[in-house]
Amino acid sequence: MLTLQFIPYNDINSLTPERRIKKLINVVKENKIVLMQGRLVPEEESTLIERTMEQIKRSNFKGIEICTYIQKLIQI
Amino acid sequence: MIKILKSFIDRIFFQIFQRKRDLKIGLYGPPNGGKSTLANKICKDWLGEEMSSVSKIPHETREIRIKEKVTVKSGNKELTFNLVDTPGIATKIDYEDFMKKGLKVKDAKKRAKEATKGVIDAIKWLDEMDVVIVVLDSTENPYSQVNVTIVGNLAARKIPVVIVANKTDLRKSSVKKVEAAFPQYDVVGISALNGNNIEEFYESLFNRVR
Repeated sequence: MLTLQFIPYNDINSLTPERRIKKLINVVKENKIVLMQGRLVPEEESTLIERTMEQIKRSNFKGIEICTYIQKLIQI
Repeated sequence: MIKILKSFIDRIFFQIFQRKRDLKIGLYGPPNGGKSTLANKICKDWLGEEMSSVSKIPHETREIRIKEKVTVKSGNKELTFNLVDTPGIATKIDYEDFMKKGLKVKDAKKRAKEATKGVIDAIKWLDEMDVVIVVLDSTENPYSQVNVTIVGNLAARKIPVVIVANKTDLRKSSVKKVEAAFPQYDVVGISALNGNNIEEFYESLFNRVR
């Protein structure tokens, strides 16, 4: 069964970048698709890739797919 | 007073050290974009020898490779740098993908393990780079998250970038798509394999460094 977990911005906003990334990877490792409100800054994205690689080295984890959707604000 | 003097001396030493440090130009991008092929092309053009092995199986380059003192000339300009070929950056590495390319389980697992370390090393080396050449396969979708993450990290670190839309010798190649994905950057369409448009690439490199 495919499970989608929504992580609201408020849930991760107060976390340090490391904890934020750890939280995201932990959810993905439960075989869930994460829908995160807000986005990671580029440095966090590269750290996310680094931590993912460390997890692949240690276990049977195969990695992540990331997709960012940016909604443009349209002024009427 | 002593503090001010110390800070002044530190600054002078820092500036001297900075000036003497060799210029590092890094090749970055997703696996199989043609980083090592381009590294080989540059080295063959200016040193007469190749630098890295290439393969159709992804993650052939799994450790950082450096070619020191590469001197490139274009017109009356000359540029000497250390060329750094890095492993392809990916968000997932599955040893079974290597088995599909013909590797045995043991070799596939070994390659996957080395590839993960390679990705980590490539990211760690970003801070060492003075200029980065992002090598993309122009037959692939340029909007992948890996591409966006690499370019975003370079922008955040204020590292000058040249984007290479490689493999223009292939029918599916679209330099325009790469240009549309990264409109704020210098995009040069080349074929590292057969040297198409390589002069424009060198020119673009000169423009980024100066």
